[in-house]
Amino acid sequence: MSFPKPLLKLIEEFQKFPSVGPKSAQRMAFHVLNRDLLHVEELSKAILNAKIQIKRCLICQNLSADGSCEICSNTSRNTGTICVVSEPKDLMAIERTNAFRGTYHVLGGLISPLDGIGPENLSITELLKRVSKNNISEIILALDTSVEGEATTLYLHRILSPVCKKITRLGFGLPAGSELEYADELTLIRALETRSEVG
Amino acid sequence: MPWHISTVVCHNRLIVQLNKLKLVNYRNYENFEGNFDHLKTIIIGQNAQGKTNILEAINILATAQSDRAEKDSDLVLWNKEHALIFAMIQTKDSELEIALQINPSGRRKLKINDVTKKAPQADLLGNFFSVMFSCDDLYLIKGSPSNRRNWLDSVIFQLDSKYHRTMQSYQKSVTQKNALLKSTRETGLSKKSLKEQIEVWNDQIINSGSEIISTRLNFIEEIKPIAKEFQDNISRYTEELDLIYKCTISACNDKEALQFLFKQSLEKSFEEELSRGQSVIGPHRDDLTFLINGKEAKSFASQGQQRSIVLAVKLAELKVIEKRKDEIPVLLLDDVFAELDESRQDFLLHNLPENIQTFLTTTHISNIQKEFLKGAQILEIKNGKVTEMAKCV
Ligand SMILES: Nc1ncnc2c1ncn2[C@@H]1O[C@H](COP(=O)(O)OP(=O)(O)OP(=O)(O)O)[C@@H](O)[C@H]1O
Ligand SMILES: [Mg+2]
Ligand SMILES: [Zn+2]
Repeated sequence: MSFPKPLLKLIEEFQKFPSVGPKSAQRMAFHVLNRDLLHVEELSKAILNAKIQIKRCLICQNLSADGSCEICSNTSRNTGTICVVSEPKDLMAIERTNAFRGTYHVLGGLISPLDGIGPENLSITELLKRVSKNNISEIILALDTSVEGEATTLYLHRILSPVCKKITRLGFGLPAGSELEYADELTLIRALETRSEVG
Repeated sequence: MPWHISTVVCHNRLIVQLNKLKLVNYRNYENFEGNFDHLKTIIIGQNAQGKTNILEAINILATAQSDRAEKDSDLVLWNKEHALIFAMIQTKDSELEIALQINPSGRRKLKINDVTKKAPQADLLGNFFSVMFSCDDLYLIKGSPSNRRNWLDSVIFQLDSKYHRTMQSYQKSVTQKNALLKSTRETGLSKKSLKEQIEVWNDQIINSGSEIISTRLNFIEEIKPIAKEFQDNISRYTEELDLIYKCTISACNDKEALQFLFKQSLEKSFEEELSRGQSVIGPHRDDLTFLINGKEAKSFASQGQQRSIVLAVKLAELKVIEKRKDEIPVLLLDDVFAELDESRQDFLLHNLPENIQTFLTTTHISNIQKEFLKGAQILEIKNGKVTEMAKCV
């Protein structure tokens, strides 16, 4: 015997979520069946609303419920500095530090030909337009240290050099509060290469 | 060629490095457990019973890869979720419990002394060392360039765990660049923007690629004189061995010069790479040449001479690992006595370090010299199960 069709369909849909396998999908589907109709209506409304209401910020491509996101519409932020990140979650990570007062630009991914992602699939044209229209004193490239992150950093550096004088990238260092002996060799080597004077 | 004795002697018994090996759902073993307290372990069994599988598992602990499996799914007992290799290892200054889980998907998990490691491949390396002799070794001479590169890499992985990380990012960059080269056939990207995009991969390929080349060159410089001396001794000074790294760029040991040459060659081969849709130069295309008296062994050496070269090179490999790591690697002899004539067998046995832990497989105990059997532990294997354990006197 197999499950009734509507249930199968629901399991199939859940299984399309990232890192959800067949077993988890089944559990999620049964969870839905076991809840009150009211709760389920709320869930489906939340999904629809998020999809309909959340848009890309017209300036930085961050997620936003309005035309421009919270950060871009905050007048106390320094609009002369742009920190380029790959995904909104990276932006959130930097925001949590409260240590950066500039603005962001969200690329929407990293260059990866294997996944069919080239520069044209990222919001690079928007970034270029933004830099040439405004007075930007520094662009910080805050991307992963994977080969894809490195390729994107190199590419952006090349494209942005003619339009912005100061292009920086995040430093390579030891994880804070960590013991030196447990750092992997590559981290240690890079930390050595980018060492700085004491004080 | 004397070897210093670095194995600890305690209560008249030698402490072996690999004390215990457990295999769960690994190849044809549902459940294997071996406790080793003798320097020599002889694994006897008919063909296809699982002898090599045990040596392969031990070798994975040292090199993080199998020399014969194409993908991790080959290592997992059919229809099982994952395989487990568990080992207890006594190094010169610590005791290690290694648990390596291998999933058919290629994902691995590694725990060392109960601590989960972040990089299951790179973090495995450098804890335990082994050198494997098998009848497939002749491919080192007569096989394809990839056979020789795989050998080079598996030895250097053991010596230098940074090399593994560099190799991983090199291969990733090459795969990405190949995908880009192939995709241009469909997307019809303009040549200018294609070049711009290729360059960000080339920059990384040059960086990691040059490091790979110079690490390989250094290794070859180190192993060459040792292998040469062994070859001199086997051949009674009639065969002079030489090893040459055949580089698709230009084998040169100065970092900046190498990077410059690499860049130049990549620029030159742009059109070719574009038309073939793949990267055609770099360490993933390099090769190693063995010469005897100035002539290429692959095409000129006799079978016997080729066997001698393999023997000399492998013994040299053992010596380089011991010198660099100050630890005698575990020796894995996969059915080699059936392959080697008596004089080469003698040569092998007389040039091994005195206290080397050895695992040897054979179909017939009569293939093995009496002298070697002394004090050995014997495991008889049938269809993935141990049927008998005995000790020789
Ligand atoms: N993933 C796997 N699952 C189950 N069985 C496997 C798997 N991989 C290999 N085998 C089995 O393992 C056996 C081969 O083992 P192995 O290569 O160790 O044999 P061997 O004893 O060394 O034989 P020979 O003397 O011929 O070299 C074969 O029977 C093969 O079918
Ligand atoms: Mg075998
Ligand atoms: Zn914004």
